[in-house]
Amino acid sequence: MKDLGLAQDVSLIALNDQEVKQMPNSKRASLRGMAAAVILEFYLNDYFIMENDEWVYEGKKDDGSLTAYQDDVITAMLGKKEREKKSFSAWLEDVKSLSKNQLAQVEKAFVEPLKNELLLEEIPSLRSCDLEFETAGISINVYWSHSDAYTKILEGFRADVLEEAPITDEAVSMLWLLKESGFFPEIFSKHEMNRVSERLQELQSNSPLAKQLFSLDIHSFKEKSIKGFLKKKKEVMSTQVGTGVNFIFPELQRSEAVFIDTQEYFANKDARLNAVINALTKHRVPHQIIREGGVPIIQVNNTWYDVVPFTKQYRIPVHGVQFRRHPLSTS
Amino acid sequence: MSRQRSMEKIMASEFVTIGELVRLTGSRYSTLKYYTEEGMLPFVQEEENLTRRFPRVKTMARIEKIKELRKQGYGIADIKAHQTFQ
Repeated sequence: MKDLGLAQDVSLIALNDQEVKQMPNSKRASLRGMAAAVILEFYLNDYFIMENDEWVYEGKKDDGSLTAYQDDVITAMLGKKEREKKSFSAWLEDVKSLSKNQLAQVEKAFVEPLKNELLLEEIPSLRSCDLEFETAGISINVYWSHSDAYTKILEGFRADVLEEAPITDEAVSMLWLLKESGFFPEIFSKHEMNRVSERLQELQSNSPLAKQLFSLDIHSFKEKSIKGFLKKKKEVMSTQVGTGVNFIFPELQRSEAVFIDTQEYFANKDARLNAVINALTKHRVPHQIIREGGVPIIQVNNTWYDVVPFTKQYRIPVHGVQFRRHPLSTS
Repeated sequence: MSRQRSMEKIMASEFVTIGELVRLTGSRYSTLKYYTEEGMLPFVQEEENLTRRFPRVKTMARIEKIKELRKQGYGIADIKAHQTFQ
């Protein structure tokens, strides 16, 4: 695998399964994290000049040191200014005030190069198969980070954090960025979160970079309050077969509550699985069956889902299946 | 300041960390950790810190062999008994 920058690694995790054309809060949070990742790359690669305890950016040099996405992101953040001087925390916290248009520029800066490298593409969302979306004729496209690169980045990061070993500054940065972007519940199991908490405390004491980063906050109040509430709710609603919050707020993360009609009452497990595969195929949603059985596991867009028999109560009950995120601890 | 090694440097190293093995092989961290705990992936551990270091060439070959045997339907106990792992 080709070496990617920290910000590109973060982007492949943060953009995966985000809607292409809409700008929901989860995508805004991801884009702010991606912009902050570029600032951290500037810091780690010494693109800033230190002046009176502040970090100075003096414009693009002709030596080709900046990549296209770094140049595009810093331009989106600074506009026409060629020189900017701020504290380290101000550089990072300023991503909080990026407008929707600036965030769209950040998105474009990352998406095009990643598509050209065949690491990212647009695919129909699992939500397109949902009975209500299908009935309404709504089709949604999402980003799909190619599985090989996605797995290597995410699992490599998990190893860096969970192992008893020194941690690199890239891993410290990614830890903070993914925490700030609200990805921890999707990356670490509840059991692993204890180790992550210990790790955060160790780093706060031992890593100069972590000391600076961990006290910073890069998300708007609205995004943070929604994410914080979701996290709290997820902790409360966890069950043996998944987490229940999405059944309360299905509009926020519909992919975790997708319902597919099986066309017949009390279908057996084979008929149910066939109906699901037919729906995914009809909507051109890439998928892989991980396990068959009464509650099969299907991978869609780098996520494993338990496909659980379910009845939806309309004027008449409709039998089908519901997609629920597979618990991380057993994957 | 400790920086992440490039793939070029990793590929030129005699020893690698478990995180680097994940990046080299595309295996899940939990899978490699399990294989390590089962004694299927030998490592050396330096005294001054607890970093486990794996001989790159030998370990990558072992992981490929495990994947191949798993595809053929062998369980972990059978694989551990396989001559490659004795």
